[in-house]
Amino acid sequence: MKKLTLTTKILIVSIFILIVFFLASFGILFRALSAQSVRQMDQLLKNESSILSALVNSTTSGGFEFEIQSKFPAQYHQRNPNSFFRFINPETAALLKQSEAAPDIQCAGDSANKDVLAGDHTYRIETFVFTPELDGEGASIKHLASQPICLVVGLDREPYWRVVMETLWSSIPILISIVVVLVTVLLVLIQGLTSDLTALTGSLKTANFGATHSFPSLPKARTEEVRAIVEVLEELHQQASAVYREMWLFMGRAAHQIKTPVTAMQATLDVLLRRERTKEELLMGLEDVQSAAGLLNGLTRKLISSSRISYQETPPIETISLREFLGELVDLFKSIAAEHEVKLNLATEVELSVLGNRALMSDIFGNLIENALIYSPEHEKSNVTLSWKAEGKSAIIEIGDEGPGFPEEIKSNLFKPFFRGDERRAVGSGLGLSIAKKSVDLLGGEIELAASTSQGSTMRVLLPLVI
Amino acid sequence: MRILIVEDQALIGKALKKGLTEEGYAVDWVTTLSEGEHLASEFEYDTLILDLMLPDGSGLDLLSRLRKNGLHTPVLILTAKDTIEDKVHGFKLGTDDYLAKPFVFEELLSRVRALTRRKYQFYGEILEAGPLRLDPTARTATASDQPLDLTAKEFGVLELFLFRKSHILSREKIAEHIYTEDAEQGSNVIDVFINKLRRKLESAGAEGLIETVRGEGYVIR
Repeated sequence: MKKLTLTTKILIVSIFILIVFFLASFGILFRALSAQSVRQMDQLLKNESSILSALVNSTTSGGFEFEIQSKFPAQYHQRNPNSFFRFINPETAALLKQSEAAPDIQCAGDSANKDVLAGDHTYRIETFVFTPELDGEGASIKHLASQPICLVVGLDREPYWRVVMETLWSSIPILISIVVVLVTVLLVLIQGLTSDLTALTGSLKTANFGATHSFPSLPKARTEEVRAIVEVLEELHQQASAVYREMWLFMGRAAHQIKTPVTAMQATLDVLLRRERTKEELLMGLEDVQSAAGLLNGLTRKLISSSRISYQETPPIETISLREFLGELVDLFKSIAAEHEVKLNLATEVELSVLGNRALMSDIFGNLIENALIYSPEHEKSNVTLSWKAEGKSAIIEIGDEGPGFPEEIKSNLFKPFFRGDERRAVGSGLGLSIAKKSVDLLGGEIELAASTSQGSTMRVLLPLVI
Repeated sequence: MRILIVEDQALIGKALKKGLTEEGYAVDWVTTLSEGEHLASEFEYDTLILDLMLPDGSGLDLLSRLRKNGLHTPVLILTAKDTIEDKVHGFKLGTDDYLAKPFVFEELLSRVRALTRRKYQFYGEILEAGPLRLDPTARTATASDQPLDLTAKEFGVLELFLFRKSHILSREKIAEHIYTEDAEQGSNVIDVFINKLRRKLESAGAEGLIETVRGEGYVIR
């Protein structure tokens, strides 16, 4: 089942409360509507009901016993078993009597209440016992004994507005409970959120990105929202750790690379200074130190360009003619190529221009040419060839050599810094291809190993073409 | 004393070879595992100096192969890695000592000397035979308390005689210890060398120390 978010939970609680509220309102409305029908009924009764006859006997307790015949609508009687009769003054009774034609109904004679149906009306014969004290108008009652008594039949009901108010009033405890439940539920939910956030803040405070990099194990959140934050944080941490690790590895590998020329210098100087040396011996030793310094220098340059590329943003883009640019670059490498006894040549004459950047392209093609030269078989008069062509919106530049090719196991990590396969050491710094890759990325191009066999390999670079 | 260096970094190998040669060692220096393996099985070296990362594999691979073949030559590993795990791994494979790059040449030298002595199971401080006394650490020699002025090679040969006291050393064995494969040598070069050494010992009052065993070689008893 999908985890519910805090918002969903609040929504569900709100809907539940709305339903309860609606039902409650419906009840109130219903009651109010019944009250409405009662009022109509009251009106009806006022018009139709009347006392038909009354028989008054004196009782042993000193009061009067009335036997009253009344008439009121059958439907009213059915609906309102709680109806009652109220005495009104004789004048009103007289009026009522005049308006009614009394049907010929005989009294039952006993004192029990009884309903007699005649036509549309129910005639009720009831016996009332009045005591003078209760009535408070003894004279009137005596007076009543000598003439027909008129009654108005009504309901023991409050007025309509009061019924509505009462209903509302009686609903207030329900409303309050609903509000209390709502607030409680909301508080519980919000408490979950705040406790999650507090726990998260607490554990994040212990995070340390310094020298001893550590990231706390984050709390298991109860709210889905905070859980999502925790997930994002953990993901970010994974990424940061990877970058962090990569940087330290890079530093370690860079230091490792520096060790070689430093060891050479140290060993050469140590041996040189162990005894008296002739001038020639000294010169030879110093030349070795110079070579080691040259290695260090090359490595330092690569490290600097590697770091520069890593923080560089979008470089200024210019239009560069491949023939001109690569021609100049090849000229620069001619003497190194001669040292390696490698023929470095441009195989294309086509005029193509790319959108690039001189510095970055020098990094790209300089490193690729250098690699090709280094890995070319020595003293075998092999070739390193540069060629280019247009394809779609890209210029494809290829640098091919006749070296031993890349071992299968390092092909997938070719562009990672210092990566040269496990425990193997190549001649270069191990940074060239990673610098080339980063530079190509900055120019929005692509770089790949197009071919690699034991007879040679070809690196392919795609750069945006000027059309 | 003969030493094999397997180190692919030209400048380091060159400096080590020069320094150790000047100390009287016969030094062979190769840059690949395969060459190293070949030489190690060909000659009896007194110490192997192995670099860990070589173009055709790890120095540790060579080490474990050599140990499997029953070769017990002391091995000094040169490494740019110097974590404990690497060392433990190396010692498990039969490394005798480690030296992290970059190192001071003097330290390498004293470790090589210690390993060589270990090879001949010599744990004392002074080698002695009659009036001859050799201090392998200080590289000084005396005969009847008179200092002997020996070349590094001469000291090395005397050291070998004393390490292998009462063992007859063939001319080839002696040659192996003082000359590398590439050194040009005549057939009687060892005899000339021994005679020169005898004269030095005699002049210091240690006569007849080096005996000739006809048809076999030389011995110091």
